[in-house]
Amino acid sequence: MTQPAIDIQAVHKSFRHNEVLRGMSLHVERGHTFAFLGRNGAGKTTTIQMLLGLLNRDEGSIRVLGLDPEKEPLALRAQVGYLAEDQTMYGWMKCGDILRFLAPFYPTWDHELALKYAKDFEVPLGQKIKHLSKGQNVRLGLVMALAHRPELVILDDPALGLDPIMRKQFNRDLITHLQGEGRTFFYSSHLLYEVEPVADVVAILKEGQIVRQAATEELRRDVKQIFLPREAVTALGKDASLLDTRPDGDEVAVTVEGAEEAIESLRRKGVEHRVVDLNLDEIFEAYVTGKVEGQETSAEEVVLTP
Amino acid sequence: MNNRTQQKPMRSVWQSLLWKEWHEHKWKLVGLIALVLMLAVMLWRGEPVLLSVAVTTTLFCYSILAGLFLGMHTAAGENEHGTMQFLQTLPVPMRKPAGVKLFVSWVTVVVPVLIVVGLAHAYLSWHQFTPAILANMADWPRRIGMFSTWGFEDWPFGVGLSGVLCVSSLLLWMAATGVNRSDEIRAGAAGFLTMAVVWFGLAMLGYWAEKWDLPGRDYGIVVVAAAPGGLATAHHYMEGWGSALPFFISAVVGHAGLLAWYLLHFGRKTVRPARTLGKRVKATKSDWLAPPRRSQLTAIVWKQVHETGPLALVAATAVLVMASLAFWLNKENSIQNSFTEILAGITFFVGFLVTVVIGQGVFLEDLKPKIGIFWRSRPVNTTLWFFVKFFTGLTVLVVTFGALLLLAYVFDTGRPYFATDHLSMQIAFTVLVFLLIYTLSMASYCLGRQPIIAVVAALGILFCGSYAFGFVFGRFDFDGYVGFVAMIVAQIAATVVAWLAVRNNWGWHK
Repeated sequence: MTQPAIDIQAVHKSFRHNEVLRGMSLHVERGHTFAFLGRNGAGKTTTIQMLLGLLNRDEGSIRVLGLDPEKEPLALRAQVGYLAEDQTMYGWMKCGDILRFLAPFYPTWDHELALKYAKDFEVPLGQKIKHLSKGQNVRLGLVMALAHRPELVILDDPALGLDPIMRKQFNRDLITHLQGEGRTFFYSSHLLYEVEPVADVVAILKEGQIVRQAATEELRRDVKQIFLPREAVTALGKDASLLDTRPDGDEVAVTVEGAEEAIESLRRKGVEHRVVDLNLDEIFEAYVTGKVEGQETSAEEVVLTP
Repeated sequence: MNNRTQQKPMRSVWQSLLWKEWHEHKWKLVGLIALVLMLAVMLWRGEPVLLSVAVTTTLFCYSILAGLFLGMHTAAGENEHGTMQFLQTLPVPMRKPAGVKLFVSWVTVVVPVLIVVGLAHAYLSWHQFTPAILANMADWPRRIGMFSTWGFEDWPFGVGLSGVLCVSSLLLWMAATGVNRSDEIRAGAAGFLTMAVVWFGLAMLGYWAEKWDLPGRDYGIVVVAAAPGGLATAHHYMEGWGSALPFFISAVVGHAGLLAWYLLHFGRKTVRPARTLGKRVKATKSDWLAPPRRSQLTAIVWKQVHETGPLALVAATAVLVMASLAFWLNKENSIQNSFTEILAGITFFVGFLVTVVIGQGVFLEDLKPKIGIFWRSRPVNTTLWFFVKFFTGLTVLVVTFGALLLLAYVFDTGRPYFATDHLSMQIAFTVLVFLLIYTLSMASYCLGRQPIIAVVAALGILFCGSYAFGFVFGRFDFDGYVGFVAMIVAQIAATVVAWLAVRNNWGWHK
């Protein structure tokens, strides 16, 4: 049986008294583009650094491509391509120099492929890195992350700081060159519209735990906003998990997980309602900043004051 | 509301800037005090007659090191830490943060001098030595020719005044000539070269003025007070003059010019960060990619030679220029006319400073947080990375300065100095000392991650270690096998500490 690309089980990580990860579990199948979403400071970069063996976990287990990053970091890194957020490289080297420099560290480095990607991504090989623009810097980072044909590519907010056109171009490059090759992508971001077009699976990290992991389409089907009379919230049924409630005139706008069951329950009880589809941005927002009055998450326990 | 939100804001821009600078300098001050006291105690050894030698030598060495290294920080510390752009966005003229930074740096380098002077004064007052002993002590600084006592009866104050003048001048020279460099090491290199050029320029001018009997040559000497070292180095020439006023004026005008230069230039130039949007790529766009490096070893060696080589080359060139000039200026002097001795002397002096800087530079870039993530996230064997860089940096150093010494040897093979049996011992000893300085400097940077603190720590460990050796073995010279073994043990210990720090990413200021 093929091992998953990434398997994280009940991982805890603290920095002194600040507990960043609180029993986080995550599973990434091979060949998927996995969007790892969370607000700034949610623990995304900490998780990625543990995946690469740059940080040690306090508890739990991590396997990446079947390897333990703490025990076999070099073997693992040889199979992983990594692009850090705001990646800084040796400014005095030229783009061509750094590709030549990195080559011997990767047994599977393909110099022809590096040149091809450099041309495709319009990386100026004769230019010093310190003179590159942000967009060129990210594209050079992408060439370095891909030229050894890694099984797993980890992108940590790679498009951070790029303008919208650059970000679109970056994602287009990703889709054009990479997704067809059957690689696994672990794409960390807090910009949802950035990952929405490319992600197969989404995981949302909040306060050190994964609050939801699902296929992108499943997530869109499962999480919806429902407008209904205030007194009818309990009619959503006990299986509906509320993510966010917001008064809207005489009605209330409720964002629910388990939307199909909730809507069926409202129909059965004859409650008038409207359903609104949400995009990934809104779903993410509901999970990480959603508030339910009284902090109850089951519809039956909610009492909304007029 | 928690305590943090209840804290009152700073009352003024000056208070805010002073608070910031104090936080950035407080540990440097502690380090410098510890360093100066260690050096003084080591030289003094509790012998009353050695007190004035210890205080004068300590303050002389301290003034040069502290002035240069704090000057580097004052010139380029903000660029080094990437905080200059933040400062530039503050709605205050840049001369304010520049002035406060220079002022706090000045206080930081002067306070240790005052502490040494105060302790020496207290010791003299406590013991009530006879006038003959006191007179002998007061005469020592003049005899060793480092600092003047300025005619003070209470000689510690006189020597202290020299120390304050010297360290203040060097701090200002370094800050002004290294201002706006992208990091502290580059600021140090620029400042040091400028000062060397100024001194040799003055020496040449003096030589020509004397040789061709130029008019006004006797008055030109007052310019020395404006040179690096200021009045502290001009005191030799002041004795032959009736009035010290021209020297004071020269010193004030020269150093005021440097101060103005520093204040007007600090932060006025945008130092390119790692990435800029400025340059067009068209001109250098290339479709050609050279073959990859053959192995990890050659890749790391190539990188390290690029990082260490230029500084070593500049230092070697400077040594050759300085030695040639010094030889030329002294060729009619019957005592100091040996090119070998001049070249060897300058090589050792410059070599010491360059060794400290190169030792720090080996991991200067690699241990910056973002660069660290870049190479550590690759399949890099940290142990290989460390030792290849360590030995490559060392090789560059040995080849550069070894070539200079070899040159001296070629020029002067017939001299008895090179024929003594003691030579191999001297060479081995010198190589070991430089190797130890290189490794200590590197290990201190790997742990401290801050160049100035690392320099202070490296020298502190060196002095403290020497003192501990003297205390244990009852001798302070390292000649003989016990000394060699002690240095080798220290070398191995420093290497292991540096290796562990790099491998495990240990370090303060990460």
